[in-house]
Amino acid sequence: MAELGSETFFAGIAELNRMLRAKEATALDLARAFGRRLETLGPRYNALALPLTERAIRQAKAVDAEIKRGRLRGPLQGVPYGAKDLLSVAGQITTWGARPCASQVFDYDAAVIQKLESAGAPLVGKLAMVELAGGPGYRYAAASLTGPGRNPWDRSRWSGGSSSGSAIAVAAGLVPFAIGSETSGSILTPAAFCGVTALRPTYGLVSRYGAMPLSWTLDKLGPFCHSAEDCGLVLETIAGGDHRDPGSAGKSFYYTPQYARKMSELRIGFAPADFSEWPDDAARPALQQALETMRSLGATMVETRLPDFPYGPIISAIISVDAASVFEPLIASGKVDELADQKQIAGLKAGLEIPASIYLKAMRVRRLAQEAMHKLLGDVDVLLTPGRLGPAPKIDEPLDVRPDRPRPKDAGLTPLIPAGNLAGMPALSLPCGFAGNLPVALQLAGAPLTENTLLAVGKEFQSRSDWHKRRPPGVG
Amino acid sequence: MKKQNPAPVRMTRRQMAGAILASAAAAQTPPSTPAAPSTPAAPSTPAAPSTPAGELQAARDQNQHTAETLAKAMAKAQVPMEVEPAFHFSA
Repeated sequence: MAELGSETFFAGIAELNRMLRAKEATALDLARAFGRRLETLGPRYNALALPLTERAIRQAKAVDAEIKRGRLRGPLQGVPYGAKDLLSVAGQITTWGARPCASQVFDYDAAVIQKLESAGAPLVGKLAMVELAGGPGYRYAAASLTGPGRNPWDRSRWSGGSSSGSAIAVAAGLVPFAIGSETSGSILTPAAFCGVTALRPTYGLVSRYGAMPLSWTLDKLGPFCHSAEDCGLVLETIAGGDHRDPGSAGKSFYYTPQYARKMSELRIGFAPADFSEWPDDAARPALQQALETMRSLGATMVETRLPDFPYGPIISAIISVDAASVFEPLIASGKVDELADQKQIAGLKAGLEIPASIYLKAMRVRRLAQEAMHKLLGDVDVLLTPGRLGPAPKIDEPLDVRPDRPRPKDAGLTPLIPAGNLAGMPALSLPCGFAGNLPVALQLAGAPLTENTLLAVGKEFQSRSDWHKRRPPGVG
Repeated sequence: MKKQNPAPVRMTRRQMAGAILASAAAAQTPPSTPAAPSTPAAPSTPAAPSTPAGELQAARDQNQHTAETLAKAMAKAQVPMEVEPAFHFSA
């Protein structure tokens, strides 16, 4: 068994793949090392839902046999990963982060689990999440079967959610990459708070077969990684049409950095107020510095703003109704009261009472908002805004507390998370500095199916900065 | 175990809904993401309801506020009858 240095736990996919091909390590070495690390350090951050090290070891042995026979499958072959605990794995407990589902077992694998298995990536563990992926809203970080996701940069701070464990595990070097999900902010928020790179793909690009539904026209699955390049490699593997997912776009994705457009040909839309007025004081310097780095890439920077729609209420109405419908059996049985967060319990119950007329209003205004967003993205290639306006909140802080200061008049691009999700747009979260000891991030968003453009900008940004390479304290 | 603030705060249901709306605007979006420009600003953050019944009423009030905001948006945009709901949604 090869002795793996601490740098291995933070290595990118290409480097791990190189090590495997050069026989500096075997897939078994990696599965054992990451599996044990996840089992040892994962609970420290409440990141682990279910260890699957033995399963991963079996997979890894098969991968090593393949490599020995010269059967090379691709860059993820032999690279371990973790998956948010809303993805079913045949015969294994899938809790959806919720006490009422604590013993739930499915007899089939989710599509992304199947695809990653076919690519030769061993699954070392299921990762913790906010219960029911946040449902219609929650008040406390503790809204999870496994407790509050603790931020690897400061365990007294929240990791963000709902893909808490996915972000933590990558940030702390417990897995080389992880799969999470987003309905509205559940990939981008934990990625920003934990300082990892993550991609929310275009709606329909990655099959959701076998994933817990929350909102049928909003749910998406995507990767958490150490770099934009790694996100491209993972997305290429997990994307693709699937008749089992009614929302599938029927599209594949090929990561093609070699064909990326030149930065000088791109137009990046941003709003100055997003960087000067909206961020909290601690995050502002890092975000402004990141904006300057982004300017230096050579793209044309264009001041812009989002079309004026009530994105928040639109998405709130849709998620509330969809979630109440999805979890109606849970509500009807009374088991909903076993959830940890009172606000989520109440939101699910109240969601059943929303009239169809309100839902239809939301879905019709959404159509107009989508059209307006697509028109905006005819003028610019990429929208740029802070990932979050401040660093991770304290672990016991109510999440619905708003800053006690005047709101800037210019909304800029600040509602980009709900707006981008309503329009099915892809988005990339890039670590871009620190507020004190806590990471802050940029969000890049683009028109549907422009992942390669976002990844190219992300890769260029990461070639000029090293924020994505920073390691939290105490993780080796 | 979830913590709750027991301090009583006097506030109308409408004020409560306005304050809570911002945080719940995007269900999974935690704090510091502001609501859309047309969303009324939260006056301040109230104490969390301390009982399940209070939570349920707050959720209902929030839904009512959402409904009113959507109705205003429909009126402002003068949505033509041919605009269909985004059920067959493809990005």
